Amino acid sequence: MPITIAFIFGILAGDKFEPSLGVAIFLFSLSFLPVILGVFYTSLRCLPFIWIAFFFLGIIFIHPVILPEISSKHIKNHLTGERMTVEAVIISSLEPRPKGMRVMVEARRIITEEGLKDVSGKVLLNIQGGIPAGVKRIVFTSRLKEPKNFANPGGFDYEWWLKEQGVFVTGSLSSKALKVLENTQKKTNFIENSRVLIREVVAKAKLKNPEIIKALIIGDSGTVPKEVRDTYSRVGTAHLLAISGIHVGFIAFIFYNLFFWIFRRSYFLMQTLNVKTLSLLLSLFPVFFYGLIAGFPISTERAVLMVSVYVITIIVGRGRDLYNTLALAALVILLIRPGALWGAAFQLSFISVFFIVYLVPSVKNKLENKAQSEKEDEKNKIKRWLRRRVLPLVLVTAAATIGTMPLLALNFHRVSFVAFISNIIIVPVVGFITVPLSLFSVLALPLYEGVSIFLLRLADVSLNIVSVMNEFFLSIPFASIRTMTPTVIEVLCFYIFILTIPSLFSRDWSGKKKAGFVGIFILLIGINFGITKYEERQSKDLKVTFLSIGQGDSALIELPYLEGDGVKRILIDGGGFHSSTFDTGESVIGPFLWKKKIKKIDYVILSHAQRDHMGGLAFILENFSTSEFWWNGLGTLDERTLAEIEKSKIKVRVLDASSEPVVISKVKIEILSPPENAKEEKRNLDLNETSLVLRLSYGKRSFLFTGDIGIDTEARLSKLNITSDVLKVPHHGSQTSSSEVFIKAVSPTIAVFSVGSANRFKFPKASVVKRYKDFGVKRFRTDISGAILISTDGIAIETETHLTTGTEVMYN
Amino acid sequence: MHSILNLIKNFTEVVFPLLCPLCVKNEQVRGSQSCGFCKNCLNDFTSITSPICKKCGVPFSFETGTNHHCGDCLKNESKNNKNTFTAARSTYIHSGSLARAIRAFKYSGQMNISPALSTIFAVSAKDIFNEFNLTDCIVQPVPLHKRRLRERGFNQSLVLARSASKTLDLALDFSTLLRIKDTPPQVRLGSIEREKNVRGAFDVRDSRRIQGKKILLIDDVYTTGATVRECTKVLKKAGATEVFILTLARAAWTS
Repeated sequence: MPITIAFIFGILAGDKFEPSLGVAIFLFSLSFLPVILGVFYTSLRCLPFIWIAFFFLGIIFIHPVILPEISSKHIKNHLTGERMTVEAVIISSLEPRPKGMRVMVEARRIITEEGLKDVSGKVLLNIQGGIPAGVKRIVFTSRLKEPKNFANPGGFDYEWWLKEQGVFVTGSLSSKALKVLENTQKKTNFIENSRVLIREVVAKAKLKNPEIIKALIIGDSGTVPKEVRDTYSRVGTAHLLAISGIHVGFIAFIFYNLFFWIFRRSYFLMQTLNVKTLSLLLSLFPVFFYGLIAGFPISTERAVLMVSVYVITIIVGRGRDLYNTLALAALVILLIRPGALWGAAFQLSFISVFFIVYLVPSVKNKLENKAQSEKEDEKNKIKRWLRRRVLPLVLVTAAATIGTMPLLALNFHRVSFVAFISNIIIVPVVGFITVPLSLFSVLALPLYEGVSIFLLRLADVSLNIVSVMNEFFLSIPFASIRTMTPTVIEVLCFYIFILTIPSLFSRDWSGKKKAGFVGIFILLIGINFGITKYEERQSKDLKVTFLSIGQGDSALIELPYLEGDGVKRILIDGGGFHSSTFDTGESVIGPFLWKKKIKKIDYVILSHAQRDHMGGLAFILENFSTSEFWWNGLGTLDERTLAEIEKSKIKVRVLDASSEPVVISKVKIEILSPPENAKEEKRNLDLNETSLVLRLSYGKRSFLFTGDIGIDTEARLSKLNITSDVLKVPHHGSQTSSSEVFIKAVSPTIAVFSVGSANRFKFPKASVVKRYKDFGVKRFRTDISGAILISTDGIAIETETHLTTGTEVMYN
Repeated sequence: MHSILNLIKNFTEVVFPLLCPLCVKNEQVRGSQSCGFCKNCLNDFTSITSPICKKCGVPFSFETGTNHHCGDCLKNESKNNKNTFTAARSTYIHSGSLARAIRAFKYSGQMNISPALSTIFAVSAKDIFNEFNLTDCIVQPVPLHKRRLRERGFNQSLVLARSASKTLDLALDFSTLLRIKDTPPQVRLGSIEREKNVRGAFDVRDSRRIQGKKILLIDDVYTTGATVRECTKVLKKAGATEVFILTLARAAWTS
């Protein structure tokens, strides 16, 4: 246990200080010397040195992940920003996604002007339409790029997620842009072929929940529909949708009992062999088989390792030493993938098991002692059954649920309260019925397809039962709530509190001490709440954050605090992608708002109804409380937005230039465009030109939000008083906007380009950037700076960018 | 090669210290006295020391004196019953942590306790070997009925017998003496009921194997001796010359 902790600290230190590899190796060898001596003499005195040694080992292991050596041959160094043709070898199993497949390839050669060139390096490809199984070597043409984060506070670190897997280049293409060079021999790729067969048989069985079944057998978790995933996460059972320790554990348990049962048929075997150990050993085979069929994605790899380590420790007679077993499993996984430490799934797996081991025995003992003192209890059969069979389940579920709560809030911004009950029922159903039936169906596949389909249908029925239960659980009020991102201190406080639960249940602590401890915690919560409230009252500035949302627009406006009104907030546009199902609301704006502990957006404003402005708004309306929705009334809103407006009775305001200026919290909002008659002229007007143009003024400073307007509208506006200090550059810096007349009329000091990194429109256009430069305007780009916060007290203007904190950066 | 294996073993022991399988809290005793339990649990074991009954091995309550027959055994001897064992021995009193260990091993099937129990049992086996002439003895466990064996998956006496036969280098035989009646467990019965309970429960399958042989019969716990007496009767009738009893633990008083 201390070794694993030392190793983890080593990994963290390696990440924080990035010491040189040589120094770490030297110190490691230095500290390992006494260890060797200690081992020779079996002396315990070398223990501290082992800890130190493992600390340095952690640094050594994380080093290549954090500071990878990239050779000059790496494809990353050959990217041009243009489409390129690459020959590559497929190195992962095919992972179905909603619109195609995701697959990892190793680049081999590229075509350049000078001819063929040898390259190396992994590339993560999204292939629309997908490719057939068994393909080994391909040639494809795609615009490859280095992955970029949406660099906003609270955002998901996509770059790190890929880096941890050794990926520095990604690309997406349609299956038409790809040619198969070589197929693998059918026999050699037995696993991949079986996976294809399984997919086929699942399709043939005409199931109601084919995606979940596939996720459970072959780990195709990418295709599970979003609504299903959402339902499960609200019920608190989302962990069941990816093959985890629970699934693998159930398989080990079931097969162990099966083998044990078989061996117990033989009088001879039981007397000559240790059949228990033998059954345990044999149960490792189905566990491994399960991993193979699932294609060993990271989560399954971890689950198989965890269960194997546990089974092996039982075999060697150390199984009851649970903390050390858990620590050993963690150590093994971290030795293989040190970067897994930052993964939510890794943390969730180990935290949940840790708290089960930590909390259950003490609480159970306490309850059992109580029961024993009430003797009559023994006679009551139902009570006894409840205590023997149900209580452990309840406690295990409760411990795991409490233990994972902060992490779920941190990573998924949702906490499910019904999880306490739902898991007790749903986990056994999935673990004992769905998963084994599905696996048996795989085993039956080579024998007789009919049996296989029959078993799949049974498994499907069990999932139908689960979905009925899901609906029931969701009908309970407050089944789950969206949570704001807790701070590290809040998470730590919560864990310290849980760690004291056994003491609160034991007699070691006096009642006074217990009360005092709980009191301190309540006080801390109060202080925390108070500080947030106080900070809100202190906010006297108008703050505008332009989010780094990819190719699209989104800006959060926080108005100054006003007695009685509090801090009001406006969101202008929600970004969005034309081609993909990526929800910018859920993945970018939401996490940013939760991180800022915002749960209310008073006004949601849509500049014009195009996907790159409207895409993420539905999610915001659904998950944050909103009182008004403003837009220009032109074009069509998407269904989700309309449904949510209807459902939550959000007031809709259709605005145009004739609308009176609105003053909210001392900030004046003028509506400059579209013109009043835009509706009649709609046919003649490009939707972009009808964008709402808003001018926000606070004190002496003003901001101009321009949507996607073009030169025509710009010309019309230039005649009005539109001078502003901060200008959101129209239409992402397209050459059809930002005319000189307009820039002159606005005469901004700061211009913000809201653009996607290496976007296909090549926005912002160099000529446009130059125009602003010539006027001496400070320029910010969301793709380079990340989120850009511009705040003003009405006189001074301060800027802060997420990627280069505290500095005002100029860009050409 | 051996030394490398040893080194690895040492390393794992230092890195991943072995905990006592019984209390799962403290580390096991290391070095020459290593037996698989920790100091605390081991201290809770009560050794049986002289004076004891020469025959059934029951410890006397007085501290001094030499071994002699106890009252019960004298009574039995006077009946001139030929089919009795020569001597019964065990090293520990069935109490405290040992009783807990045996219970965990037998009923909860905690396999990790079995090596530790086997180790301490091997020491007992050496003791009885030194006290009596056991050369060419056959080691036999008290058998379990098929149904019970099926329930449990293993025979705890056989595990101990295997350890004894290994240390003493004696032949092990677990297929001659059989339990043919599935009797209820002895645990909650009184001494007379116990006798009745096991009557006719055992049989010898192939008496040629034990004809003229000495037998070391192994069981986990000696309470009233009803089980081992019944086994002895059957074994002797089948032609065994002498039967010695070795149990891991025994009750302090036969009552």
